[in-house]
Amino acid sequence: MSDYLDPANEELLKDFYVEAELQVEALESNILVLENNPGDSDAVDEVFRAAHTLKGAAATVQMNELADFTHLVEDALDVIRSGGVSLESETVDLLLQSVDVIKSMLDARSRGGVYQQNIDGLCAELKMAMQLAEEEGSHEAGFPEAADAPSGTGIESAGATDSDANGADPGSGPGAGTNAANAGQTAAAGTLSEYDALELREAATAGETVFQIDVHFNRDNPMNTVGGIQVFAALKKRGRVLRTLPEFEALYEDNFFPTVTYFVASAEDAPSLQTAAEIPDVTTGVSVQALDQTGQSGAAQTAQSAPDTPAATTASSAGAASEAGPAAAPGEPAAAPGESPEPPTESQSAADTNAGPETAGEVTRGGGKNGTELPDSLERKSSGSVLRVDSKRIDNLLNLVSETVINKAGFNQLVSEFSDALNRFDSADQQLRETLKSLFDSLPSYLEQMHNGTSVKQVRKELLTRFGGLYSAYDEFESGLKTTVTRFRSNAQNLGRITGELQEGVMRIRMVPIAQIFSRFPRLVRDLSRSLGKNIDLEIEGEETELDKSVIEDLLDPLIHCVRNSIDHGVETPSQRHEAGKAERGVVGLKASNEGNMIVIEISDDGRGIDVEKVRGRAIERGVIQAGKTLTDVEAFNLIFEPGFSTASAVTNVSGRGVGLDVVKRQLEKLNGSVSVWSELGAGTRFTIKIPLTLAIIQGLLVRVGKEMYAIPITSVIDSHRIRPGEIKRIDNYEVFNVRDDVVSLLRLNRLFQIETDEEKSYHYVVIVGAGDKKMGLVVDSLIGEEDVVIKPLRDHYTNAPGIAGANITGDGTVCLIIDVGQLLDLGLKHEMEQRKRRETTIR
Amino acid sequence: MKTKQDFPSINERKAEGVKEDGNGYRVLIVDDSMFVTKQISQILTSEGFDVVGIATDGEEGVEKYKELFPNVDVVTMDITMPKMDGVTALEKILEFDKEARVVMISALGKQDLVKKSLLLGAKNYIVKPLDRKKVLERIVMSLKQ
Repeated sequence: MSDYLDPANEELLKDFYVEAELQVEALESNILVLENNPGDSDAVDEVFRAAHTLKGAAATVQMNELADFTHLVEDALDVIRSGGVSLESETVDLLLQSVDVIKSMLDARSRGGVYQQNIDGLCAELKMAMQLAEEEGSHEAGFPEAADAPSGTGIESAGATDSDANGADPGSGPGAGTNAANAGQTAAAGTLSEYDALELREAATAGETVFQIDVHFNRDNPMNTVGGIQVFAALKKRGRVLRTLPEFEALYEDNFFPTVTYFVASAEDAPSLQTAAEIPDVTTGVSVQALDQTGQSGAAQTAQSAPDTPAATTASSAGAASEAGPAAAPGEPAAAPGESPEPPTESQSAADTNAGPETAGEVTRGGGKNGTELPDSLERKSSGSVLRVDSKRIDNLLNLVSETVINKAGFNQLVSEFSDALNRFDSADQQLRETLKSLFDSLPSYLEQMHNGTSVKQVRKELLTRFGGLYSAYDEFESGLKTTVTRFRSNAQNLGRITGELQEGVMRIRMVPIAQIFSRFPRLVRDLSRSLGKNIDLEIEGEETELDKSVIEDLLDPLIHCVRNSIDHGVETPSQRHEAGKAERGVVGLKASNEGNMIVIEISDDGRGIDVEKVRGRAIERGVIQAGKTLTDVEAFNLIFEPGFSTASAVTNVSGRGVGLDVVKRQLEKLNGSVSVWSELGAGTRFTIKIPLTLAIIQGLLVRVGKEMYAIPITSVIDSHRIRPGEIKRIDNYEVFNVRDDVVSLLRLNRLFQIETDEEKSYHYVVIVGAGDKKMGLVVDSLIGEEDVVIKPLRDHYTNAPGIAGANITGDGTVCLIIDVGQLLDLGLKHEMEQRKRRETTIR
Repeated sequence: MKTKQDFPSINERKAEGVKEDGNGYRVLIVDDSMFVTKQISQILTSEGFDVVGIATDGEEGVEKYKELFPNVDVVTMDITMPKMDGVTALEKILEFDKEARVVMISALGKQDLVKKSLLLGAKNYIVKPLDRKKVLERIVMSLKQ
């Protein structure tokens, strides 16, 4: 095979998977756009481009099954596009199915395997669709007998003639024969379609030219069927063989082709390639031409050696000139084994007889692989760690980093200013001491003077003159220090601002638009509503809202659950909607927005809504609540998140098994998020999901237990109280505490974490935390305050410490552990029970 | 391992004025048929080639190549052989020395294996029954590549 980039290169594979994901997404979304608006030529182009890019990428990493299949899809799209045919919904289904296969293939590859399932059926259907589209195109163009029409307007002209030849062939079976015609059509006999030419030109990297090399072979060579490959092997040493006509697979078969065209990207010049391709005894003539900018064979770099036989010349022109149809073909003695025109079950033989050997390769394209394939070493590590970041964000970070550097320089300056100030202080201090010393030394003489009758006034005056400098001894030092401190303050403020922005900037690198997951919903909604016989429009809003990549990945499943729920249980069937006086098309909305450092996602529908009474009834029936309990509507709605709860009377295969919404709730709680529901009977339902922007930084409530400090995620904190020991009561071995009308059981963190502390204090602090439906009071020594807490994961044997989610380094450098509230609730109850039992037995 | 640098390359030999067709080039013949081996050997020695080794199966061929390396300029490799076929032996030799010049010897009907060998990196092939002119031409051609 040709020399590709090393297909086992990990970086290359990572890039490939990222690229592939994007292209698959583009494929899917644009196919859906086409379904609603078949005339959207932008979408057609986009679908086409995506398929093409994907094919190219797959070939680069030698995922042949993917490249082959994508190529087929691409061909189908090409026919659909050039035929100008509107897409039937069956065709859309077919295309979507193909996208699914592509996804599965990628998936299989990403797990180190190769997609194994049989896709012949789908391939055949695709080919059929091509055929239909083509016929339709011809009909529309005014040729009722498409197959017999001399040329089909709206179809590439070379291809049309080709199909003509096939259609007229009496030996062709209706199915297989037409398939062959189609396949041959997309790149007719030795002619490059505009599209293929573009593809080839794109393949050339810097310094390379793409050459078209026509090689004529000597039939008299005893192994004349080897020549095609021999030249291939020779050429691949000089450059990359991008493509051959006939296709490589056909060359590999035991067939003789009088002429083979090679498309080679090479840094070498035409004469050198020509020398490489000329093999005595094997080749009879070689011509090399550079493909010019328009993709046609240009005469710019031509090196022509006289072909030996006139037949070869004919073949050459058929191969090179775009206007030549299969006219040259009958003159070509086709040495292929499948020469007889019937039965053309193998598309290969049909093409051989009809269009000359040049097309044979085209037909088998998408067919198998061959024995010389490189070893399949395409195992990859996860591509999930690849992040695409807007370069502006990186620039912003660089900016901030340079600001920090400047800021640091400022601090350096300040350091020297401070030491200057210190020096000044030292000298002032020195002076002061000296003056004081002389003051004390001179005091006795002054006393004596006073004793001798000098007036106090006189002495005082003298003292002032001599020692008045004492008052201003520190003045110079002080003013200097003041300026320095002011500058220090502003510098520190700047540093605070920069680190804040830096933190935000780094977090923003991890931020991706929620469109990444929203984009999967159009397909989901379409498939689901079709299978349920409902007409549903999906309205997406705020897809540019960004959130942390790690969050976004875990958000998909809960969202899918909610949307499914809305489609299945919410929106009614068209007839029901009609009866209810609503528009027949239901609407499901998906909306994301920012709210502080939380993201709010709403999934709404205009369906039948939730019947509060029914929910209450079901809740009582299932024993979720007691019959006498009064519930507000909101509380009642939220009962649907209880495990095993479903008001759907019939279980459908979409949802309604009562697993789902409770899972949604659990999953969101894992993300420190929450979900609630609001509904109006007959008007619709709205799920509201709130999740923090990121998981790496949380707001934490810092508390002290003994000498240790702990952080409790603020999202789990309900409230906090200062209580006297006497307020702690015991019910059935539990320590509890009354909060208004509620009774909350208490967990002493000092006991749980075995920290020595004085329990006999006049006051305790209780932080009430909740996760899910559980609530508990944590008894701590004191509350320190709220702070942004950067979660650092714990490694090795600490990871299993129950009740601890991670660690955080506080401003003064001490480590504080972050409490995992959910785990603590489970753990605490058990632990407290055991502890108490033990204590009680020791007391007795 | 000895490196090729210790020995003059083909081009250097030419520069020394050695006759282009033949003289002094060292050949390893890998073939299970004594008859064919003899034929090749005779054709080549008559033209001044130096047959430095003969192996009768693929395994031995690979071993001999490694043993002789880098004192071999070209290998003739039969395709159908016991123990290890020629294509596999070719692969092994190329694994060991990717510059190795190997010319395949094939009977008619083995086109697919010839193709495979060429793609793997064989320099050329010769079809049995052997023809003196063809053998010389192909081997010289492979030396020029």
